[in-house]
Amino acid sequence: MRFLPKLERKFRRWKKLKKSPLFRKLDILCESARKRTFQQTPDADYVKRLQTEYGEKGGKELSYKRREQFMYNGSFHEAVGSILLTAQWFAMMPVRGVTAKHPSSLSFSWRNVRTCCCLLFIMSMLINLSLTIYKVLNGSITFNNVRPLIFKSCICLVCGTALNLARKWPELMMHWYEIEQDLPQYRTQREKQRMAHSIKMVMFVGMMLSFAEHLLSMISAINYASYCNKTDDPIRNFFLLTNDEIFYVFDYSTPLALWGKLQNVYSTFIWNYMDILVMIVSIGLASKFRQLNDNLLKFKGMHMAPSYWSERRVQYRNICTLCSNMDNAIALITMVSFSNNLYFICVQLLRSLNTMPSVAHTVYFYFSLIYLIGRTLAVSLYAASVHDESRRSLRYLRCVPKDSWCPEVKRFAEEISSDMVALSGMKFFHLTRKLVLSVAGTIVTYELVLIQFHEDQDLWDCDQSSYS
Amino acid sequence: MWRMQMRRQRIGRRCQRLRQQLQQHGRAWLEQLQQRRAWRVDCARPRHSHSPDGSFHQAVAPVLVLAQCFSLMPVRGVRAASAQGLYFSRHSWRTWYSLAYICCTSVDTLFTINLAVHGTLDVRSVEPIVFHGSILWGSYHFLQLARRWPALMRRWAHVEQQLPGYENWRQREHLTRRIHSVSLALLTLSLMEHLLSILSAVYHDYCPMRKDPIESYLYADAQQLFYVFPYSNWLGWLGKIQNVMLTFGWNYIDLFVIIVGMGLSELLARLKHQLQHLVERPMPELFWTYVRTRYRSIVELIYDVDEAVSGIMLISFGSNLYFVCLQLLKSINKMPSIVHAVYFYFSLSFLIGRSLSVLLFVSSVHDRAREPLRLLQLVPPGGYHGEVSRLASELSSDNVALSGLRFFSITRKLCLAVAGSIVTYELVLIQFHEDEKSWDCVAQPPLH
Repeated sequence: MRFLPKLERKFRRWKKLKKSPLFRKLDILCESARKRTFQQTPDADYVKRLQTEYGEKGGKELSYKRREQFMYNGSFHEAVGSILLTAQWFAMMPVRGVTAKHPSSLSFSWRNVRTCCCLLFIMSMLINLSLTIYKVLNGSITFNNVRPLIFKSCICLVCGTALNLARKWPELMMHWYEIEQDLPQYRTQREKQRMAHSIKMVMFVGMMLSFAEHLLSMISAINYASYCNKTDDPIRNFFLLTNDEIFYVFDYSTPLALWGKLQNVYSTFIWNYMDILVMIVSIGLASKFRQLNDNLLKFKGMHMAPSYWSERRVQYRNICTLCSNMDNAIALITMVSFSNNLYFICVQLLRSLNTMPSVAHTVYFYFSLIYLIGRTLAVSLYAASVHDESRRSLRYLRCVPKDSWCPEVKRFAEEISSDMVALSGMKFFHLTRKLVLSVAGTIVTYELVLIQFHEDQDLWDCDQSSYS
Repeated sequence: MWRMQMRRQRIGRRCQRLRQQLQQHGRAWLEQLQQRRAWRVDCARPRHSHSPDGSFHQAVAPVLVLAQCFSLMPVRGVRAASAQGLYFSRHSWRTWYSLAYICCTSVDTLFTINLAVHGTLDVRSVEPIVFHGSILWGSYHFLQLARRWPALMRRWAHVEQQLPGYENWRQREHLTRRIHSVSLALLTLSLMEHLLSILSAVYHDYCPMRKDPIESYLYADAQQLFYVFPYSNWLGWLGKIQNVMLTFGWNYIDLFVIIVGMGLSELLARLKHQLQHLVERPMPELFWTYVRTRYRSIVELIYDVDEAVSGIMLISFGSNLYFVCLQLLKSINKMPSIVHAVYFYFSLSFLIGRSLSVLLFVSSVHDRAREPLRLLQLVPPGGYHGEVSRLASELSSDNVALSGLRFFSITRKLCLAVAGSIVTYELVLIQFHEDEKSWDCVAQPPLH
């Protein structure tokens, strides 16, 4: 019965009314006695005490907000609040209290509405996936045809991982908060807002572009569906084309089509969101390193006491621990995101050799290709910035003057130079800037090999149904 | 009373200790004192008032002036006596010239893309697009660099002044002469290559598109323009000028990268030269502090320079990789005449030589930065202070090298990696290759 607090309160009141008249009278007597004693003592306010006892909020008192409540305190929890809230609309990250001021109000429970939605979505996604597997297995299996299969299984995997991440999220955020409190604080509001601003911009730009991409894909699908008329109804044509895996098994029906479309929208969001999540976590980690580096830069080349250095070293170590914790938590998402991007870039580049049937197709295709490459590049560069920022401290340590060179500084420098601090894809690869080049090289090599087996798909041939 | 006694005793003890030390290390101390003077005071004066003072700023001045003639690096005061005279201004004619050039190149690039899109797209037909695009990107980066150049040069000069002075005029002129000879050689070779290309195009034109050979050459040279506009002489000459400037810019990107690499490795070499003489003697800790701070300032300078020029590095390496691949692929083709073959093999070897020299000159920064580590191993146990061990640990753990936008750091190992990838791509590309018959006029794009 702990689903909703409002229901629970009503239930308690109802239980109170159910009491026998004698008990009620006794209660009232007791209450009045308490009231009298409170009125005798001057500074106690009875109403407030009563409210706190019954857990009710004062309806008469106007709740007013102060300026401080709207100002960022520069914490990561606060910066990602709205982003997690958006994700919750799309059945991801079912954590309660994401927009709260303090991370201690975060909680995860299996009986929450969000969690149920998330589980429901995963179930329906699994059904969709099995339908897709059925369709793919019945056709020919090629590099190009397994595209929807890979897409959907990645979404399922990411959803499951995100659910697991949501369970750990309150603990992670508390850890993050404790470390943040310990770091040298920024003075100005602008510096505090910087991280939150870049996180929001990444989310906004990413979502807008993915929305535009989705719209363009719909336009090109409508265009194609109107060309390949299977039935008279244009809407039906469109759904038959986009949800071909469902109608491969079942007959056409509107609820099924709507379900497929909803599924499509959700999975597109999640597909983009996994990259954005990796970007956001790496922006957060990099900004924590930067916060420390800014402090080190402020005192660069100055004579500092050994206690200053030991303090900074402990803070650096804390951030490294945080980085490895976050890495463990999101490693699978990073891995899926990178391999997914690699596969899709290969497929799209290969498809760029095809002749495009119409202008709508061409626009959609090149837009989505550029968007995909840009997104992959952005993920890699943002993730690599964690490593870059962590190495930057070493440059400041090199400039410590001779007089203040102490074992603590030496230890700090050695720890930085020997450690590898970076996000990783399940420890298979570290996300550094050098990875970008090796991924690009890999893509070119695969592409050159794949081109040899490529045959031009005639998209105007409606029977082939190679559209996806 | 007792205080006076104490003080006297303390002074006496100190004197005694000093005397002992002087007796023990008398000769070594004298030497060290002399050396300390040597590494602080710049004793040798220039031979003539107009002979170079050994600074990088003066050494690159003629190269930058030449670049400004071709509208790159619009910074004012490159011929000033010191780096203090450098400044960047938006209202200078150089900046406007450079901006106009960038605009012209972008328009030209658009025409080129237009031409390529209307033909078939493959590795060979995108050559002009890559050529134009890389130079456009390069000239934009030069414009950005020009804004940072004065501050960078002032830092460079500051680092140079802190380094030990030159012993004689030969050392002083070493950097200047090297930069001048390398740029002279590279520019001469590129001029030769360009002239040969004109020669091979004019005298053995198998598909004359116009009656006049010069007109025909101009037509072929600015094909992207005449794909849109009808032929006119002045447009042809305009296209030719644009082409010359682009070719210069293409060579200049590599030249600039070489010069920066040479300047930085010269700084490290000067420090190493001084260390070489003194490293086997027991030097005081102060000397090692001096060496370490100088080394650190050079490394910080390298990081700053890298941040400023790494975009140009990336474009230089990327375009070299592409063009070497392409030219190697073309070498399978049959040559229509001897002049064509001479031109082709000259240009291929020039391209490979240029790419290799860029790589070697730039990677020498990394090699030079590691060299002091070897020398530190020669320090005698008496002179092994905390500063020496700090310097050694810094040297061994830092990776000091120029980089291409920090995606790859340029070391000698890169050479083999690039060669390996060229071979891989080449093997794959050969399979798709069809012999391009340059004397087959039917295969050429049709006339208007």
